[in-house]
Amino acid sequence: MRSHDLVEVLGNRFRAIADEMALSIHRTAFSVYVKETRDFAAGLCTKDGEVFGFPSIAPPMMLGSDASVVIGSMRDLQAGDIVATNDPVSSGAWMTHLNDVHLLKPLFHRGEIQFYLWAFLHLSDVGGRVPGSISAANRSLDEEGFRVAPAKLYRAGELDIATSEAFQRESRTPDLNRGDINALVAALNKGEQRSVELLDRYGAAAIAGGVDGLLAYGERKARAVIGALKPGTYIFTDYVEVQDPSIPPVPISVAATVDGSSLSLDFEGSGSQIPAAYNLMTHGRRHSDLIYGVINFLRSADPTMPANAGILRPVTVRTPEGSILNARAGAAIGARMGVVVRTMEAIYGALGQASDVLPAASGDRSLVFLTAPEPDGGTRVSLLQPVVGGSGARARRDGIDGIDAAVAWLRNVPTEALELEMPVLVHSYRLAPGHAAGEFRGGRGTEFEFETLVDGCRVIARNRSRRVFRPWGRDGGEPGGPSRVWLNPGTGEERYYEVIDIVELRRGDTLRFVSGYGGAFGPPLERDPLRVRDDVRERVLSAASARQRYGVELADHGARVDQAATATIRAVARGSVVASDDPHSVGIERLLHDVGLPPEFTQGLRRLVAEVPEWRESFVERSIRFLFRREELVSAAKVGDQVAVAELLRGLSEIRANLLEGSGTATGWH
Amino acid sequence: MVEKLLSTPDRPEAAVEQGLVQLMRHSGITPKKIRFFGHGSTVGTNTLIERTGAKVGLLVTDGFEDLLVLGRLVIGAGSLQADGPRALVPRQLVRGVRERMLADGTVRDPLDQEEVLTAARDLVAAGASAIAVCFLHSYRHPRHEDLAVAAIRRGVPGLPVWSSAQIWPEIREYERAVAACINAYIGPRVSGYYAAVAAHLRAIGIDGPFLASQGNGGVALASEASARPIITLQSGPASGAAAAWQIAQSSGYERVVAVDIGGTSTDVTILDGGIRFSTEAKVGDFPLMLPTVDVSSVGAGGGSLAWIDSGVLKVGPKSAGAHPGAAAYGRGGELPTLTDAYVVLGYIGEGTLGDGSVRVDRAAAERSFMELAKQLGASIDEVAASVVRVASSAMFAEVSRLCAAHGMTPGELDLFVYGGAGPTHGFLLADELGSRRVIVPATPGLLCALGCVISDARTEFAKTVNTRVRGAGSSALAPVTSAIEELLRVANGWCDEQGFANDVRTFDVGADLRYVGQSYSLTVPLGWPVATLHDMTGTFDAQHQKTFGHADQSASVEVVTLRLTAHARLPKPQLAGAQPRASSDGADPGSRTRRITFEGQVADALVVSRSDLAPGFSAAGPMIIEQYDTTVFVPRGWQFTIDRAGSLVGVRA
Repeated sequence: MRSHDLVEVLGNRFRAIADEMALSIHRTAFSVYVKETRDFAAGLCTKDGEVFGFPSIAPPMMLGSDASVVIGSMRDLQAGDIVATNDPVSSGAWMTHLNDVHLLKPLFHRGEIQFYLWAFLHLSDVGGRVPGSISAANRSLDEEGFRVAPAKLYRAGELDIATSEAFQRESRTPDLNRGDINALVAALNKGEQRSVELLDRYGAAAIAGGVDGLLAYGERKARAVIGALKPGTYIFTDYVEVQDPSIPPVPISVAATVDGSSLSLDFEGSGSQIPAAYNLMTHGRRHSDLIYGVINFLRSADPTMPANAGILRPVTVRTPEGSILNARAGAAIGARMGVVVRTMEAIYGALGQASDVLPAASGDRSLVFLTAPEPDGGTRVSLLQPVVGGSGARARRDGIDGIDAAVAWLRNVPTEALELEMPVLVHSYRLAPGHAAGEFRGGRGTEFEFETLVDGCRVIARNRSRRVFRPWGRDGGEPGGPSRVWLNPGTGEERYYEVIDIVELRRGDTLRFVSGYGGAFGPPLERDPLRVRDDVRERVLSAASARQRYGVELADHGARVDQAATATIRAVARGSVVASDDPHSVGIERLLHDVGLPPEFTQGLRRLVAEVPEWRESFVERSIRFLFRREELVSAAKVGDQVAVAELLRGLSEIRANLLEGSGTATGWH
Repeated sequence: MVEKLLSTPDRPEAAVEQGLVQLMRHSGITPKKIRFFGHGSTVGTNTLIERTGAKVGLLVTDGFEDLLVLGRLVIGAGSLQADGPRALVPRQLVRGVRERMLADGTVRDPLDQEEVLTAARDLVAAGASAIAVCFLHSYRHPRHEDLAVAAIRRGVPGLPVWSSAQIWPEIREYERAVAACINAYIGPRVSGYYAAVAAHLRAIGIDGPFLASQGNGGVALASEASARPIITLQSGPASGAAAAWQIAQSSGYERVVAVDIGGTSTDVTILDGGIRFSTEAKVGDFPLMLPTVDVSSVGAGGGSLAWIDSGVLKVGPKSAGAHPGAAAYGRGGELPTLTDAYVVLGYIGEGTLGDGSVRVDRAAAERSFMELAKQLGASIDEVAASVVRVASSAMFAEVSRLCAAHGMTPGELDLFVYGGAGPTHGFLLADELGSRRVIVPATPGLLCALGCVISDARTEFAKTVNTRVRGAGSSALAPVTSAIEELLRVANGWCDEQGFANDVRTFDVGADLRYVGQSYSLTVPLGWPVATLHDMTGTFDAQHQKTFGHADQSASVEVVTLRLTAHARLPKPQLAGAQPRASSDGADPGSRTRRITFEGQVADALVVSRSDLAPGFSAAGPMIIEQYDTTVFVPRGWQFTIDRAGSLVGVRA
C-alpha cells in the first residue's frame, strides 16, 4: 500500500470494524435504549483517547468520547484485559451519567498496545432512588445509583466476578445489565479479532501511519471550515427551563471566538449547578456533550467531514467550575440531555452569527411515557410517543415540519401498535397549528392527544424545556412557540400544565401534548410570495394570515399571488418595521425576564402580552426592544425611580395603542 | 441469444418492440415458438423517483391527516441542511374522515359513506385522479376501508381507488398508507405501459403468458402487475439476486454474498440457503412494506470518480455515469473513474468491447490520471492501483456491514460477482473479503434479464393476529390455525384466479414471533399443519439464539403476523451455460497476452475469450477473460475452472 491511499483505505477498514462492533451490540443487547433510541456506540481510539474509527450507524455525538483519563490511570494492562466503568467522577467524565457503562480493551499486537477499542451502552437500571435510575427530581449524585470506578472486568481473558457483580448487585435489572455488558464484551472481542487481522496484514507501522494521517485529515478538514469564518467573538445566551418551578431558568452563555482556523468556546456567565439532575459533569474538559453543536456545524458545513476526533483538534473549551456545565462531584446529573441539547443550540446562536449553515432554535419535545395496570396486577411502562418539535429554519431553507433535526435518529411509534399494546385511544397525531413566520419559516410542531381507556394510568413526561421562553428566530424571523400540555381540553375540567412530571389519569381522561414550533429565519415580508401561496394551499396558514403576517394578497381562491396588491401592502409594511440590530428574536417572555424591571412594569407588560394576537408578537417584541434602548431610563427604573417607571409605562401604552390600531388589518406593519 | 438495447425513456415500450424484432431476426425464432414472455421494467420505479405519477387523493382517519409528513420521524443524514422527504400526496389532497375502529375491531365511530363520497368528490375537484384510503387498524379490521372504497366506486364510477389493506394488510399505518399511495401514484403509468406491451405482443403473435418481474424476486402475470403495480418496485435488483441464487445453487454453492458492481453503484445481497427478504426496504424516499429482496447499495461503481480531498484520495460518491462516462470511453468524459483505472492497469483491454457499444482508449484513460498523479507525486500506474484499492475498501466496508448486521463475516461466504464491473473487480474484492471462492456466472451483465425468465411466480399474503402462543394456555393454537387456514383459502383463490393449476402450487407458511414486550420480531418458518405450539416457540427460541445471541425459553411469546408465500412453478428454459465455439477440454485457448500491473508488479497475462472456454476448462491466473459485455480479471494466486453450468469458479491456488 502506498501512502497516498493509506488514509482512505484504512479509514474504510476502521469504520468497518466500528460498524461490526456497533451492529453486534445492536443485535445482541437487551436494553430498549439500544434497540429504540440508539443509546450506544463503539469504536477505536488512540493511546491519547482520540477516536479514529467510528460506526456509520451511531449518532455522531460520541465522536468526542474521551477515554484518555482512564487510559492514563490503568498502567498495568495485559492482553485480554477489559476495563469497565460507569463513574464520571474517576473516569475524567468519560460518561456524563451513571446509566452509561463504558468498556475499554487494549489492542495488543506483538506484545505492544497499538490502540484501544471501546464500547458503551445505556444500562436499564443502576440502582438509586427511582426505577430506571434517572429522575429530574434527584438532588444529588448519591440518589442516582451505584458507581463503579475503572476496574478490570476481565483479567487476561478471565472474568473478574467482583467487578461483574458490582454492575448487578444494586440494580433492579441485574440480568439485563449482565446481558448488555456481555453484548459489549462480545463486540470488543470481535473488534479485537478484526484489528489483529488488519495489523497482521499491513503491519503496525503502516497502521500507526494511517491513524495519524486520518486524524490529521480530519483536523485539516475542520480547520478549513473554521478558517473560512469571519474572525471575531460571537456571543449568545440561551436558557434551560427545569422541572422544579422553584428553580429559575438557568442561562447557558457562550462566547465563541474564531481565531484563524481555531475555535474557542468560553461558557463564562452560564448558571451555577442546581439541585436537580440537569448538571453536566465535565471536569473542565473539552467534553463531547459540550460541543455537539460544533460537531453538527462541521458536518453540515462540509458533508464530507470525516467521522474522527481529528475534527475536534481545532476546538478548545472553557467552563466555569461549579457551573451547570462543569458541576462539582456530587451534583445530580441523570437528566442532563436537555442541557446538552440547549448547549448545542447556544452554540448555534453564537456561531450562527458567523456562518449561514446553522439553524434557528427548534421547538422542544416531550417524551411521553405511560404506566398502565396489567390484568395480572402488575404494571407496564411504555414510551407512548416522542412528541418532537418542529426544526428551526435555516438561512435558505424552511425548518422541517414535525421533525427535530437534533434527535433525527428517534423513531415514533405507530398508533396502531400503541393502541394494541397500551390501554389508550389516540385522538390525534398530526402537525399542530401555529408557526413562526419568516423569509424561511420555522418547522411546525406536533399535536398528540390520547384518552386512557382504564383507570389507574400514570403519565410521565420528560425533557420539557422551552415551556415559557420561545425557540429563538434569526435575522428578523419570528421566534417559535413553546411546548404545551392540557388535561381534558375543551371540557369543563380543562387544565393547562406549566410543568408536568407525573399525572394520574382516570378512565376517559384526555391529555393533549403540543410540541414547540421552531424559530424562523429572515423577515416575513421577504418571503417569496409563491411560497406563501403554497403554504396557504397546504393549510399551513389561512389567506387572511398570508396578508397579515406576510403581506401577501392572494387572488383566484388562492391559486395566484396578486402581485400589485402584494407589492403595495409590503411597501407600506416595510415602512413601519421597527428596526432591530439583534440577530436573535427571543420572544417577549424572555425580554421580560432579561430586563429585570420593577413589578409595576412587568405586570403592565404581562397584560399587554395577553392581548397580543400571534401575528403581532414580533411587533411587540421589537417595540419593547426599541423602548429599552433608552438605557438611562431603564437603569433608573431598575433601581426604583418612579418617574422612570411611569415613563416606561407610558411607552408601553403607546405600544398597546399601536397594537390595537393595527390589529386585524394589514396596516401598521411591524 | 442476447440482444442489448439502449432504453427509450420517452416511450419505454419502443425498446421492447425493437428488441423483439432484432432477437427474432438474429435467431430465426418465430413468435409462435415463444412459450412465454418474461419482462422486467423500471417504469414504476422511475415514475416514483422522478415524481411523474398521478395526482393522488388520500383519505385517512380524522386526526391523522399529516401522517405522510410525520412518517416515522427518522431523517438520518445528520446534516443541519437536510430536509424530510416530500410527501407523495400534498396536504391539500389529504382529507380526514370521521370514523374510528379500535384495535379489537370495536367500532368507536361509525363511517358515514356520504361523508366519504363528499370528501372523494372534493379531492377530484381539487385535481385528484386516483384515491388511496388508509384507516387505522384496517390491517385486521378492513370493514371501514371496504365501505369507503365501495362508496367511492358507486359514487364516482371509473375513479381508481385503492385501500391500504388491499395492497398490504400489515400493522403500521404510515407504511401501509405509503403503499396505497404509491400504488395509486404509479398505477396509471404502469398499467398503461403493460397494456401497450401486451398489445404489441398480441399484434406480432406472441400468445404465451406475459410475465412481469417483481421486487420479491418472483414473477407475476402482467395483469397482476397492472392491478398492483407496487409489486414491480425494486424488481431489477431482486431479479438479479434471484438469478444469482439460481445459478449459485445449481453449481452447489448455497452460502454466498452476491455483489453486483454497476456503473454508479454496487448492490450487495446475502444468499444464505435462499434469498433474504426485508419488510423495511426503501425506494427513493419511501418505505416499502411488502416483502422485498434484501439488497443494500453503496455508491461505488465503475463510473465512480477519483478525486483528492485535502490530500486524501477518494473514489465516489460522484459518478461519471453513462454520460459522459469513463474517460477511456471517449464519450466526453475527461475525469478519471474506476473503469479508467482498470484500463490503465490492463484489466480491461483496448479496442471494442464485446457488445460493440464502446471503444476503449487507453491513452485517454492514462491522460485522465495525469492531474491526480501530479498532485500525489506518483506515477499514473500507482495512482490507478490506489484508486482500485480505495474502491475495494469501500466495497469491503459495505459487504462487511451487511454481514455484521446478520452476525456473519464476509470470509465465511463465497463471493458471487456480476454486473458490468463485478467480474473485473471480483477477485480483487475477494482478496479484501477473505473469500475462499469466487463465482462469475456465464452472463454476468444479464442477470436481471435472466431472472425474468427463470423465476417462478410468487406472491405473499400476511395477516396480523397479535396472539400469545406461550404463557397463554393450550387454546392459543386455535387462532393461529384458523388464521393460516384463512391465508390458505385466500392463496388458493388467488392461484385459481391467476390460472395456476393445483400441481404447480406450493405454499410456505411462516410467522413473525417475539417475546412479549419486545418491539421487534423474527420471521420463522412453520410447518403446516402446525403440530404444537411448543414446536413453534422452540423454533423461535433457536432462531433468536442464532440471530441475537440469546434466547429465553421461559418468556411469553406472541405471534405478531402470519405470513404465507405462494409459489407457482412455471415452465422455464434450460440454462445453456457456456457455448464452446471451437475447443475441447483443456485445449489451448490462444496465446494473446496483455501487460498488466498488479500489486505493483508488471506481468503479462494471457487474454482469452470466454466463449472459447468449455466446461471443465481450468487455468491459473493471471488471466484476462473477455466476453460479450464484460471482462473477467483473474489475478495470480487464483486457479479457476469453468463448471457444468458455465460459471467460472475461482479458488485460491
